[in-house]
Amino acid sequence: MRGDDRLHVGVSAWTMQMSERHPRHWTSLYSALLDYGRRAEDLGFDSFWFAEHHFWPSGYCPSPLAAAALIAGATERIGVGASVLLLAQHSLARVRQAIRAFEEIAPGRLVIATGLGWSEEEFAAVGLTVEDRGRVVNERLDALIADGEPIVAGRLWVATSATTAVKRAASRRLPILTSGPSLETAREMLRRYRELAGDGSLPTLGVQLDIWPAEDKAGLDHGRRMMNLSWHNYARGKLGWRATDAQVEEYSNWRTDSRLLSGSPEEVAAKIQPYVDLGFRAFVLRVNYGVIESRQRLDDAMRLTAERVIPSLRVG
Amino acid sequence: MSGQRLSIGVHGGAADVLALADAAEGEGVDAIWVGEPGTAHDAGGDSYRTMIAAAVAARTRFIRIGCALTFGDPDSTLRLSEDVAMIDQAAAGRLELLLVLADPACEERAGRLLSAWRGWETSDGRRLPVTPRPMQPSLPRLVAAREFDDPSAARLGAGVLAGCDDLPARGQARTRVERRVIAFDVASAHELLADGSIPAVARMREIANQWEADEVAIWLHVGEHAVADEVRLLSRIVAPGLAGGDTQWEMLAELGARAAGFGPA
Repeated sequence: MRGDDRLHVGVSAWTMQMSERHPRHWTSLYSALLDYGRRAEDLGFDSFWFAEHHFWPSGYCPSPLAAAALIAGATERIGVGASVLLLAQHSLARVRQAIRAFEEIAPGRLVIATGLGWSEEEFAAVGLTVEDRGRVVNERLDALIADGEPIVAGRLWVATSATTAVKRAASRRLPILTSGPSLETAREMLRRYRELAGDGSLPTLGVQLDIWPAEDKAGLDHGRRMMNLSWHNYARGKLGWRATDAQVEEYSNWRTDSRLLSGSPEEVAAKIQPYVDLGFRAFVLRVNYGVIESRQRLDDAMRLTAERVIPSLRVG
Repeated sequence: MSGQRLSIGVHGGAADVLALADAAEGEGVDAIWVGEPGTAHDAGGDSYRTMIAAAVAARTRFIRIGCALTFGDPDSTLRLSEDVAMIDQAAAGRLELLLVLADPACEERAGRLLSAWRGWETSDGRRLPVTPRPMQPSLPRLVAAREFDDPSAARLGAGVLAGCDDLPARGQARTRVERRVIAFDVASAHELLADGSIPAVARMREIANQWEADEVAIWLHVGEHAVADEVRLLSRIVAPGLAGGDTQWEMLAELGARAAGFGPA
């Protein structure tokens, strides 16, 4: 499916949410999840990714590891990933146990992009504070590396949206997965990584991009609306549940405008290509923005990404 | 309860459990177990088992999935409650829990897990909504114990799974718990057949009936025979004996063994 086999391309981000506008049985969302996992494998994607948050009334995926195990059980080949796994909120024992299970049921297929998290109540629920998170993540990364866990060899990434995270990754020679950066930010992340990691071969570096390919205006409008709605949900978490509608709208529009790469499949490919040219070789392409209003639209976006966006990308 | 049921577990690793699940789904076995009532063979940990249970949920549609939890990691109770709910949703309400409780602290964690969906209380007194919740209104749960009159089972609203070797040769449970399951350890279904399956199954029937058991749970050892073959044979010789009647089961067990390619055609 790809123009160049040196690219790793995954699809994200499944969260199995319902909403006030679209109430659903969670069972139906999890049933659909299995269909999407199989579909992604059939379309030739390299990996299938989940996000993590807790205590959301929508049911936002609280356990990307268990969700990844669901897809591992339903498929044969595709990688399964957590982006991000809020590492400070999972005990080291739990992470080790999960890795061991995956190595037995789906050897080599689990990928973890570790992240910090930002929700104060999520940390409070596990007896931590937001201030603890960097230290705890560092300790857990070091422990996994010291143990020689199999996932450390290329499948344990550090999600980065700040240069402190780049330092965390580079000092341990772990790959980064930088999320939704502008080209300028992405270039700076790579420069910092290469500078901090020093000489020697570098791991494959990854970027997560929000995309929406469609063939007509209705399809494009749908994608933009889905992404905008997902940021509405996120805004309530980020800004507080009592944020005004105007604040939420402003935040959602800003995030959508600054991150969404949409257009015809060829136009989307042209917007991704500069990231390839910068040196990224792993791509996690987000086409699922949480609440799924139209399975047909999402399937179209996955298919167009696999059949027309990715083959248009060129390395070197 | 709705008649005596058959469930099967395996003393083995994750790949063995997946093979067990695939075979059990095809053979009409009521339930399978991820993990076991003792810890002697099992160093995996609760998150190891919930990951396997999730994979089983995704590749099956009909069997019930029993997952053993030991609560050995004091820092993972909330995360386990989230795993459990997601797996039950993905399995459309087929998840059951086997609570293997080494001490009162583990029982306390089990209680916290089972009540998590009424709100998770933080140390500063806030109550947070744990979502999603399980599909089933009350997750079926068993406590692994040495007798049916187990106080922790009563406290947790659970049934009891007891090993046949732990129960006295003659006796009856004094109280009626939610559900009684008797566990048998079988080295190999092929050996069972070689020793004469009818007497062995008759003995299982006798013990299960004596204790008014709702379910017979058999744990197989992984040996020279493929797990799928073991499950195929075991289900065909044991299931007819649990159907509730005194007649026909011996004939059906023999027919089942023959149809599975064992014994004279």
